Amino acid sequence: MVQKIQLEHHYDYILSSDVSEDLAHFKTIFDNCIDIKFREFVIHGARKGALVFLSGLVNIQTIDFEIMKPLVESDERLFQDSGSGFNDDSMKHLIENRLLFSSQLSWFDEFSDVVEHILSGNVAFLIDGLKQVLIINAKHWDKRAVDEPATEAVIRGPREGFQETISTNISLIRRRLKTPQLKMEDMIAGRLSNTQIVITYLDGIVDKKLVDEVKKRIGKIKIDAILESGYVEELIEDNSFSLFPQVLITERPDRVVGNLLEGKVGIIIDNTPFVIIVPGTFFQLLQSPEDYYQRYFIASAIRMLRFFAVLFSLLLPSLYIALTTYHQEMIPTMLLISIAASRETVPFPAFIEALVMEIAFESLREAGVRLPRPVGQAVSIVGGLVIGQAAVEAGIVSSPLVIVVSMTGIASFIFPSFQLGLAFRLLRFPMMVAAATFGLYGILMMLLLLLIHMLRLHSFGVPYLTPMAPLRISGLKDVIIRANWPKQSSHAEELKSQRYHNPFKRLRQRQNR
Amino acid sequence: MEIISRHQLLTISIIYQIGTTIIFGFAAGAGRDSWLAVLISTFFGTAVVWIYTRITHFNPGLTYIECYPAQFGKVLGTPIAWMHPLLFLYISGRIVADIKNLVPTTILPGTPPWVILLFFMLVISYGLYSGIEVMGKLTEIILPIILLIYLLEVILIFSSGVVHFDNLAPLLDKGWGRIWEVVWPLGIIQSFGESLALALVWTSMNERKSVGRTMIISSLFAGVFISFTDALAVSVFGEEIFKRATYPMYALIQAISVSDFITQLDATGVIYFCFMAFLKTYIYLFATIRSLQKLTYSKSSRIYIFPVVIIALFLGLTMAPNVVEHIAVVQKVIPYNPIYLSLMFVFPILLFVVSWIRNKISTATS
Repeated sequence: MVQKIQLEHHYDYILSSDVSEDLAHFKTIFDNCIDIKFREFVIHGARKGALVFLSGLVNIQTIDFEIMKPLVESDERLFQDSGSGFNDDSMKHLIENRLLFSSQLSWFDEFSDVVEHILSGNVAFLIDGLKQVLIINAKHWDKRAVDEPATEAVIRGPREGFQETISTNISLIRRRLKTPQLKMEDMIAGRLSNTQIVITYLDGIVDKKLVDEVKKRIGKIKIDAILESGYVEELIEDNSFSLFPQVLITERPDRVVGNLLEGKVGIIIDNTPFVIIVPGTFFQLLQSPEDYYQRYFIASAIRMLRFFAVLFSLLLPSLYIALTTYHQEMIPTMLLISIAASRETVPFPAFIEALVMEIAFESLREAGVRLPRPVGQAVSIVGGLVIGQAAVEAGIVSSPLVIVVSMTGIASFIFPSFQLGLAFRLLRFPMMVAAATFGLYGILMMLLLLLIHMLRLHSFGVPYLTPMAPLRISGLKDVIIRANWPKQSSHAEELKSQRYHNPFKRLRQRQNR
Repeated sequence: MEIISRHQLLTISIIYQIGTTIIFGFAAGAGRDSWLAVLISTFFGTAVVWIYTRITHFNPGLTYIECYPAQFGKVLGTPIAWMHPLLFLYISGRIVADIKNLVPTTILPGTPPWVILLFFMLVISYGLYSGIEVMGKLTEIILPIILLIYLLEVILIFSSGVVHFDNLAPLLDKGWGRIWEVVWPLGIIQSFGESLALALVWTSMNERKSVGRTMIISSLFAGVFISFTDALAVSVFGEEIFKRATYPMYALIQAISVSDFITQLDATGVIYFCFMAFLKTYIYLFATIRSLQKLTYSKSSRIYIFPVVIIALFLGLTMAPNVVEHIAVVQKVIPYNPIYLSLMFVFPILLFVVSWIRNKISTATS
């Protein structure tokens, strides 16, 4: 069911039983809209009829052969038979059962409903003598094929990714969960864009409060247009004054399904291949769906590697600055000598040196994204090599720093979630400033600030760092490592334990208040 | 009202009770018998902590501060209650002064102390603003990390080949005298008597009944931890150096040297000292703010955060002209100060007895 929306203009028109009058109204509304087509015709001289539709969003073949043809060719006796007893109901019955070969038909009384349906690609059929308008589904437009997701590649696992059409995305999820428990609820947001948003969850597993909260927050969205899921993310997240993404964004249907099974709610938005999953927690953002497809020892090792990557990408440059500036004694002597030797020709303090290199690296990376794909790769590799090598030889930066910066760069590519990687990329800079000012003490204080901030965050009532803090031992075996399936508690048990340590308790408290 | 779990209270108390002793050492006056002195202090200290927990148990729904007016009457109880925030504020000032003395002399020689402290207080204010729940979660994450680093440190010390257990013998060669000297009153005040500030946290816990058990576990754990560290320090340095060192535990980290590669890790020692000091200052300031809020019947405690932090910063900067005096005060003056002794022992015991009797009477009549 499509929800009623608030249109920009309120139409004073009401549908009449006269086709020409209605058509005149439609023509006023769709003034200067060349893509709206009107087609008037006469059904065997008996009645006037008209079709209104958006060319480009409908299948012309369907209109020609499955709507127009049967109507025009219909036997005129059909309309004369019943004589005086011929009323609106029998007319509707006649059209639905004898004339139109379409599985999706519905009647509407309101002008605004009809306008809305025409705009979303349905065909409106007006007929003389009836106050209602028949809406026929003949949607068809050009779309991208289901393709491999660009941002979340896996070695082992399905290669399907979402694309821009919401109905295809829904079908990708439905194909993986063939159960009536999988619910899809329709909503619309965006004053002008009227973007379709589908909320999906698994009934019986999800906490109903969470679903209600999601609906409430989406219902509150007041914006002209939603062009990407980022709009929705920003408008529904708990704390927008934060660098950290508080929802999970994915292009992979298998990942959405995996999360639905854990009691999460998915938000599918039309015109974007990115689906939002809430609530999103930090450790979940560090997981890749592939962890569950690989052997669990390997997956556990890779997960731990990711934790190191997080620390590396956040701390490595600042540790370098702190150690070379304040705590040289901590570096083993031989290493210190070699670092000092290579730093000898460098005229800058370690902080400036690191800052310049980090900014250069970030620029290269950004340039690599914006350039056309084949060029982009070349620029990042060649640029990195040439600039690194040349800068060292020119004595502008030291070679240990180039190693540090490139290791940081590699570490930041390990993040399975691009959004989280971005947060850490940016956090590196205040970290470096703190290290340059206060050494290790500064790093510690910055880490504390960062941790306090992360601990303050909640995503839809769930603490951001669950299950590490508040600690839930049973949750840890799917965070630090990936336990094998039999040892991960069975479905029913998991649910019970979730209910026991109810993650949504906080949410409830807030609502009761 | 923010809620912390049992586990969070445990981690907060462990870190709080181990606290700054991780650098300053504990019961150094007892020389090679210090580990024994620590264990004895732990025994009595745990008893004192147990008394504190019983008091709040007998007065359900009241914070520790509010128990005084409730049991002794407004006239007698209110002044006693008002002394607590002042005491807490003073001690937090002392810890800030510890930072002021330690950090610039060890890892940041050129940086002016006030800048270091300003940054420190800034982070604390953010923590206070975020509330005790966030701090509970923070300790939950950090305690395992600290214990892991500590374990690593112990392994490194052993692999450095500087541990000589002979240094610990002979046990009790100078008799019990010097043990009692450090146990009473300093040993019991340090770590255990100071847990009084934690009493203001207990009301935030979700299972009020297990407060006593949690606190006893944490006191015993902290006691054993400190005792082990003391024994380790003595066996590395021998009695004389251990007694004379300003920061014996800091020196312990300096002793690490594994095949000339892992050496000079002192900065890491200072780092976890800073974290311990951070949490301890946090708890004291939290206790101060909570008491002030209760005593002035204010709805929000946030208005107190800024002034209290500023006062603690000022206290820390002006407390002692140099480190020798600063440490001498903690060893010679504070333990014999009547305010300290009465607030930590005399009044709580009186309060305990009064509450206990009242509780008996009320259960008997009902």
